[in-house]
Amino acid sequence: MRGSWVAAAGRAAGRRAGEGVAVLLVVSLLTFGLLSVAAGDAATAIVLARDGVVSAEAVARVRAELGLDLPAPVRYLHALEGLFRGELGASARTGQDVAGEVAARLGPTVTLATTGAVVAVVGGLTAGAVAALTRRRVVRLPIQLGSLALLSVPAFALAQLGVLLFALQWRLLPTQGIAGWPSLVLPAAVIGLPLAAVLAQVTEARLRSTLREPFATTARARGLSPARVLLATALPNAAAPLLVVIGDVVGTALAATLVAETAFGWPGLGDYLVRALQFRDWYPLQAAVLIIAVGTVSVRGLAGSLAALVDARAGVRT
Amino acid sequence: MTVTARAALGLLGLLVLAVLAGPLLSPWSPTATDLTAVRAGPSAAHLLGTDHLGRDELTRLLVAGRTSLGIVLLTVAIALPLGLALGLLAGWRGGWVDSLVLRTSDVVVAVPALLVGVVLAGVLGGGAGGLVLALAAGSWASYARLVRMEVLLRRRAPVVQALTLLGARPGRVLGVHLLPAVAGPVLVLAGTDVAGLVLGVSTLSFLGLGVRPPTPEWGAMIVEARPHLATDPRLFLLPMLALALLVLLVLVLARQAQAWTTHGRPAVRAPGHRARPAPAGRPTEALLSVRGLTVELAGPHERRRVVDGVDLDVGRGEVVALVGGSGSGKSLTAAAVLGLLPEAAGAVAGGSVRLAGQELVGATERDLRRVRGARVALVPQDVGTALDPLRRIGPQVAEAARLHRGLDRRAATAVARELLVWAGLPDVDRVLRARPAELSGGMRQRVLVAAALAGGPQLLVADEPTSALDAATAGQVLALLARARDEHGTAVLLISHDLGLVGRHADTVTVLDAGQVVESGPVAQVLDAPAHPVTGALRDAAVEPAAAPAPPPGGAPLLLARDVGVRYPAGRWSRSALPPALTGVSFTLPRGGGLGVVGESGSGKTTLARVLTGLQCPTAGTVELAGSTRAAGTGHAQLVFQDPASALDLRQPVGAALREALLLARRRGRPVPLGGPPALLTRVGLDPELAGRRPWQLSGGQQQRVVIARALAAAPDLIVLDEPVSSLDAVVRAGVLELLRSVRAEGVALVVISHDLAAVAALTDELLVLHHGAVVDRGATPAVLARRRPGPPGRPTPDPARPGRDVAAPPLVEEIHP
Repeated sequence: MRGSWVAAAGRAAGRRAGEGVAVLLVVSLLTFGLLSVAAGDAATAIVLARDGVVSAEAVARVRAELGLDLPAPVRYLHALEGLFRGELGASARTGQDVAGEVAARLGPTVTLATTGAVVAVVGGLTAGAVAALTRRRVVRLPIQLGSLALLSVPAFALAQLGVLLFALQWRLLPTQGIAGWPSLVLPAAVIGLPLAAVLAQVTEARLRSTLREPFATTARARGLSPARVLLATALPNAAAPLLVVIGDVVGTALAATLVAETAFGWPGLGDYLVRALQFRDWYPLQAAVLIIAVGTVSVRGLAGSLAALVDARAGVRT
Repeated sequence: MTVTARAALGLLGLLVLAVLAGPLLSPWSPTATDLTAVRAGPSAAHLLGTDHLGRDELTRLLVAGRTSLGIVLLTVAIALPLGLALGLLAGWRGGWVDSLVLRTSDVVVAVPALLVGVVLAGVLGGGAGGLVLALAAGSWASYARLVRMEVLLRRRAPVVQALTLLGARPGRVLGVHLLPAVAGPVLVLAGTDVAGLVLGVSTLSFLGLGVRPPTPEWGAMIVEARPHLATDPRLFLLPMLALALLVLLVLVLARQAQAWTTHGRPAVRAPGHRARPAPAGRPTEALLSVRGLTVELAGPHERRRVVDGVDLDVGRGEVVALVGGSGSGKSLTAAAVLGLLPEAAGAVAGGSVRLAGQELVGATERDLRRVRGARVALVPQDVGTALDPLRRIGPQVAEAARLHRGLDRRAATAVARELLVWAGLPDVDRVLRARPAELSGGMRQRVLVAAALAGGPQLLVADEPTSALDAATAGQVLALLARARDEHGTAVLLISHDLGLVGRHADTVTVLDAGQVVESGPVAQVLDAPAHPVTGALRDAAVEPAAAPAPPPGGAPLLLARDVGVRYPAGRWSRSALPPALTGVSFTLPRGGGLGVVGESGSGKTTLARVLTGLQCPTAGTVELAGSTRAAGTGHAQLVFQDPASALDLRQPVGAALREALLLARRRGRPVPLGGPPALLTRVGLDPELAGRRPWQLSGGQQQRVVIARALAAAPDLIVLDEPVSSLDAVVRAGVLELLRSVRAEGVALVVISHDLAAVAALTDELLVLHHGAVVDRGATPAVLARRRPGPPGRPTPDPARPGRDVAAPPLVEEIHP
C-alpha cells in the first residue's frame, strides 16, 4: 500500500494533462471560429488602412492573400498545423511575422506576471495566516477592510490611482513603459494586490476551518502553541485546497496583464492582444489568446497535480 | 440580520434608487456639453461640478450607474437561470448530460473570465448587447457547477431516498426540497458574480471594448479623466468611488448572506475569562479539584449556561468517570480542565479548576501550554480525525516528549516506540513510519493513548474514547487506560455516556445532567442504589432489553429474497473488476417478523438495505415484497437511517413533512393512518405541539422518532432500519428501541441492520451474518449471538488490502486480555 500514493498522484497528473490539452483544443477551435466569423472585417480594415478607400475587389484580393477564401475547417487545420511548426502567420497591421513579435513580447509579460504572482502569493498567504492566527481586531480589521477595498476597485482604476499618487503627487515612480525595476512596481502591484486580497480571504477561511479539526485540538492538547499548530499541522493540511487556489491566482495574474500592460504601456503580450483586438488583426490575436490560455491552463494543471499529490499522501481518494 | 448587513442593504437600496431616479431628479442631460463651463468646481447648479466638456458630473455619474446596473442585471438574468437549469439537469440526470455540462463549463472556467470577456466583446463588437452576451458566456458556468455539485451531494442523501420510497416524483423532490436548499449558496454566488460583473463592465470600457462614449459609463469616465489626472483628480476619483461603493456594498451583503446560510446565526464576541477567587490556604488533597465550574456559550440572543456549578475531584492514580447524556455538559467540563474551550462558540469558564494546586481557569495561554501535554493530556474522541492525516505516527506520538521532557528527536522516538509497544501495537517500526490512514480504528485509538502518555502526565482526560469503536475494541482501550493507571500511576478522568461500560473500569462516578452534578460516589454504590432518576435511566439503558416479540405464526411470507447479488461496475480505467457487494443472499420474512443483519463495515449491509426497499435493483436474483417485485415508491417498504438529521428536510417543519408523507401515501392508494400529523406524533411518543418545529430544533432522539413517524405515514408492511440507534446516547436509544418493538408488535415487519448486537437482539428473532457480501452464518438470533461470541471464524483479521477500513470492526466479540 505504501508508495501507491505516488501512482495515484501520477494518474491524477496524467488525467489533468489530458484535460488541459482538450481544453486548449476547444479554446483554439472557439477562437478560430469566432475570428473567422468576424474575419471579413479584418480584410476590410486592412484595405481601409492601406488604401484609404474600400473597394470590393481590393477586399477580395486581401482575403485571398490571407487565405480567408478557403473553407473554414481547412483554414482551421492549416492554422493548427502552422501552430505546431511555430508559424503563427503575419500581422496584417505591421506586416511582421507574428512569431517574432510574440517572442519579443513574451519576456516582459513573464517578468510582469511572475512579479505580480509573487506579490499575490506571498502577500495573500501572509495576510491570511496572520488573520487566521490572531483574535485581535487591531490586526484582523485592517486586513479584512484592506482586502475588501482592493476587491471593490477595478484594476485599471487602481492603476490610475497609483499613477496619481506615486507618479504625479510624490514623483516616486514612472508612469509608462519599461525602464528598470521602478517601472515594474506599479504594474506588478496592480496585478498582485487584488489577487493577494482573494488569496488572503481563502487562506484565512481554510486555516480557520483546519484549526477547528480534532487533530488540531489534539495537537494543542499536547501543549503546542497556536503558531506551531498553524505551521506544523494546519498549513500542510490546508495545502491541497490552497494549492488549487494559488494555481487560479497565478493563472489569473497572467490574464491580468491585459489590463496592467494597457494601463502602463508595458510592451508585453497583454498589450499586444488588446491592440490586435482593437484592430481586428486576427493572426496576432489568435496567437496571443492561445499563449495566455496555454499559460493559465498549465499553471492550473500543475497546481492541481501538486494538490492531488498532497491529498494522496493523506489517503484521500481523488 | 446584523447591523452591518442592515446598513449595507439600506445604503445599496439608496444607491440603486438614486441611480434609477437620477435622470428624473436632475435638470441636466448627461450628454449636453457646455464649453463655457469646462471642469467647473461644485456649485449650486452643478452639485459635483462639470467634466472636461462641461457636462454635469452628478447626472453623468447617475446615468452611468444605470448603464452598468442594466447590463449587469441583464447578464445575471441570462446566466443564472441558464446555469441553474443546466446544473439541476446535470446533477440529477448524471451520465452523458452531466459529462457534457461539466466539460463545457470546464473550458469556460479554465480560461480566465477576463480573457473570455475581452475576446468575445471584441469579436461581437461593442454596445450593450454584445457586452451582455460576452459576460454571460463567462458567468453561467459557475452557477451550473455550484448547482450541479449541490444537487449531486444531495441526490443520494437519505432525505431523497426517504421521499422516493414515499412515492415522491423527481419534480417534487427537486422543486420542493432541493431547490430551496440550493437557493442560499446560489444567492451568495450571485452577489459575488454581480460584483465581478460591475468590475468587468468597466474594465471592458477601459479596454475600448464596452460602452462607447458619449454614453456615460463609470469605466469610460475614468478613462476620459486620464488626461486631466494631474490638474483635476476629481473627475477620476468620483466615478471610481461610485463604482467601488457599489461593488463594496454588494460584496459585504454577499459575505453576510454566506455567514447566514452556513452558520444560521452570527457569532457573538466572548468577554474575557472570569475566575472566581478560590478560597486561599485550603489544602488540596486531590490531584484535580474542580469547584463551582461554570461554562457559558454565546447563544443567538443570550448567553446559555451549559455547565452549572460542577464540583469534581480526581485523586492521584484514581479513575473517575464523568457520565451523562448528550448535552449534559460533560465534554465541556473536560475541555475546561484542559483550558481548551471552543472559542468559536464563545465559551467562557468561571469557577475554579485546580491541578495540584495550580489554578487553570483564567490562566494565561502561556501557562496553560506548559500544563497541557505535560501534566494533563487528552485522549480524544474521534479516532478518525484526531491524528494529523499528513504526518507520520512517530513524530505525533513523540511530540509531547520532545516538547515537555526536553528530549531530542532520537530519544523522543525511542520513548514513542516504547509506548507503542506498551500499548500493544504490532510491528511497531512500521507503525512509527505509517500515516494514520494506514491504521485501523482500534490501532489509532491505542496510538492516541500512547501519544497522550508521552509527556508523562499525571492526569489523562479521556473524552468518550470508545464511542467510535465496536464493543470488543472499546473494551481493549478501556483496559489500556486501566493499565496506564496501574503501571504509570496516571489518574484518568473518563468521560462517557455509557454507565455500564465505565462501571467496570472506574473507581468513582459523577453523573451530570443539564450541566449540574446530580449524583457522585463510588461506582458500586451509584450503580446499585442510584439516588437520582437520571442515574437510574442511564443504568437501565445500559442493560440489554428483553428478547424480541415472537412473530405471528402462519401466513404467506411478506419478503422473499432469492439468491440476491449486486455487482458494481468497475471504473473505466480500472484493470480488475470489483468484488461483488452482495452475493447469493436468500431469506424469507413473515408479516410482522424481525430479521437482523450484522457484519463489519463494507460487508454489504447498506447495499442490502437499498435492494430490499427497491431503491436499487439487484444485478442477480429477485426480491419479492408482498407478492410484487416492484417496491420503490409504492409505500410498502420504508427506510429508517442512521443519521436522522440527514433524512429530514431541515427547512420543513415536522408537521409539514408528515402531511407531505400522508399526501403521497394517499396518492399511492395506501390505507393511511387516521388523525393526521398529530396522531402520528403521538404514536411515536412525541408531543403534537412539536409539529411546528423544524428538525434542527429537535434532539437526535426526537428526530429519529419523526423519521419513524414519517415511515409509518405510508402504512408500510416493512421497515428497514439501517443502524437506527447508533447515533443516539444510551437513554434515548432505549426509548427508540422500545418504540420500534411496539411498531413490530402492531404487525410491521422489521429488518434491522446494525453492529449493535443488543439492538438486534431486542428487535429480531432471526439473524444473518454478512461477510464480504455473503451470508456466513444464520439462524435464530439468540443462538447465533451465543455461537459467535467466543472467537468466531470471521474474526477480525487485519486486511492488508483495505487499511483503515475496519474502524467499526466485526460485531463479533473478541477475548480481552487486560
